[in-house]
Formats: sequence, C-alpha cells, structure tokens
Amino acid sequence: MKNIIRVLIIFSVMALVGCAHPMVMSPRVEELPKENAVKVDKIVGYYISSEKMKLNVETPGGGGDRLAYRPYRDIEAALNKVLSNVYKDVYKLKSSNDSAELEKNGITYVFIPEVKTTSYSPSPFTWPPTDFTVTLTMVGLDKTGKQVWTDTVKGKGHAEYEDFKDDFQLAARLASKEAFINLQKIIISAEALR
Amino acid sequence: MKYMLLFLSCVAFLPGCAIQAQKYEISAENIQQLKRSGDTKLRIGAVTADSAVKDKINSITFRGSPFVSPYGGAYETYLKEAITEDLKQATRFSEKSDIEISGIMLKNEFDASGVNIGLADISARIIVKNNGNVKYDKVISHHQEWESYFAAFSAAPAAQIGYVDAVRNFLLKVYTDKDFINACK
Repeated sequence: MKNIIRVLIIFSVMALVGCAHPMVMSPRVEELPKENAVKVDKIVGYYISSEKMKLNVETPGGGGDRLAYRPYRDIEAALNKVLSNVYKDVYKLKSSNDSAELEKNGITYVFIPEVKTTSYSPSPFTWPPTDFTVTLTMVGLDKTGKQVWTDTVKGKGHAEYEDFKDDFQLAARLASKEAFINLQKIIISAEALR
Repeated sequence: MKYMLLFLSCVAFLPGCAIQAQKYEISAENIQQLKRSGDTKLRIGAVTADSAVKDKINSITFRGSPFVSPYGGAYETYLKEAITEDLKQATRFSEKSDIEISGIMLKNEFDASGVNIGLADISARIIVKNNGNVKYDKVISHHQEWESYFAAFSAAPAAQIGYVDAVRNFLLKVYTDKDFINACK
C-alpha cells in the first residue's frame, strides 16, 4: 500500500510541478467588427509559413507553470477577418512571392505578420495569466515583393480570477483583440495601402 | 501522513465537476474554403441528433466529469452554431436563401482519459436542399487526435482546444466535398 501511495505521489508531484498548460490566444472574430463602411477596392493576401503555423511557444503563467500556445495558428482567423473588413477580398497564400498566384488572383498587397507575446501571473496557485501582451508587426509587400509598408501595434489584456474562471485564456484573448483592433485602424489610415 | 496530505492536495486539483467545452471558433482555412467554393447564399435548417444516440452524443465526459456543450448542453446545437458562424464569416449566410443545409448528428465520441493522446470522433449526415429538393445527402465522419497530459488541469484545456479542432476539421471535410460544393451552387 505504501508503495502504491509513493508512486501516486510521484506522479502527482510530477504532474503539478512546472506544467505547460495548453491554451489559445485567439480573439473572438465576431468582436472585430468593420470600422467604416468604405472598403478599399483591392484584393490582398497574407502569408504565414508552415513553420510559423506549427510554432509552439511557452511563456510564464502562475504558480511556476508555463502557458503553451501556437501564436500564428491562433491569430490567423483574426488576421483574415481584419483584412476582410478593410479589403474587397483576402487570400491565404502558400508563398509570399509566387507572382503567378498573385497575378491570377489580382492581389495588390501581401501582408506578413510577426507576433511576439509576454505573459505574467503573480498567483502562486492558479496557472492562467492575469496579464498578457501581444506585439504584432506587419510588413506589407507589393506584388513585386518590394516592402511598401510596415508598422507595429500592441495589445494588453488583464484578467483576475473572477474574470478568467470561465475562460482561462481571457487575458490573452483581450490582448490579441486589442492588437487586431489597433491593426485594423492603422491599415485603414495607411495611405501606402490604399 | 504528510505524504498522504500532499497526495490528497494533488487529487484536489483534478476535476470533480462539469467542464464546459470551448465555444466554436472559426478557422481561416474553413472560411477561405467556403469563400473560394462559391458565392451563393446558404441558410441553415435543423441540425438534430439521431434519436437512437441523442443521449450518448450529449453525455460525453472528461475523466468522469460531464464535458458539456456550451450551447445549452446540446452538441447538435454546437454543430449548427459552428456551420452558421462559418457561413456568416464567409459572407455566404442568408436566412432567405433557397439552399438549406441541415444535419443529423450520428456520433460524438470523446476520450480524454489518455495521458498522451485525446480522441474525438464526429459523424453526421449532412443534407443540402434547394427549394426543398435534396441535392446532397451524405454521412461525413472525422477522427481527431490531440496531445494530452497526465495532469487534469493541463489535459482539460487541451481537450477543449482539441474538440474545437475536431469540429473545424469535420466541417472542412464537408466544405471540401465536391458533391457538397456542387449542391451549394
């Protein structure tokens, strides 16, 4: 009996110490509404490499644990939504410089995102983040592959236990929502992307 | 005694009450597929659970605790909401459309008991009617696996994410079916 308890204790402690908790950092796309009725009458594409789509990152959570998520996979739907809010049509591209594909689909600009995140929780008992930041750098290329625009936006999210008890990733969702709302604003105001 | 207390404290972290599945979230891939496969508007009709397995479909568990649909506890409603959200985001949704998608959920199996892998199997009969005439009637099935964990508090969010992926990938199979695409034109 003692041995069984010891084994259970070892497994339990192994399970409790330094866990990586899977989560998503995607904002709810329905919370990224169009800001103005006038669309830019251009077709655009975005490119996220397959390596980035698979990229799994770990950042700190509470209680010494870590948060595990795939930032590029998680933000893709929001990126598609924001670009769709602004432009006539949006294509997901398999390459950033396939001129035949760009020509065939009438694509004027290609967007390439770079995502950086931070997370934090002061709690010794709960793993979900209370604070999360998303820094989104976007590069815009024309159809010849020349960079015509770049800008960086940030989003911050904060959630206490009462807020995140029903959605552990709430701080991350709030941060990415703010980042994408800011992204939509800067794309709308960028003369180089008209 | 102190070991026993430590063990009990560990066990206390395991779930003892119902866990809610995560609400459906669209994927860019599904939206692109719907956008690129046509521009006709579509509406969603009834999505029900096969009466013979309705209780089984809606009583899936996570390590002994109910794993509850966030849509009134019904996974057939989960499927309906997922299709509706996809159609809306792909700008192909219209309640006035003559083309109606409906469905009967046949299987919704879920197993997150494994310490390495979680599993979900979804199967549904998808029907497309145009002005009441059946244009598509096919059973689509999907098997999904995700990385799972020994600790319940890591396995639970992994299962929540895994189930959303299962529904997304099930629907991608529907949206990429050539017969479905033709029926929706």
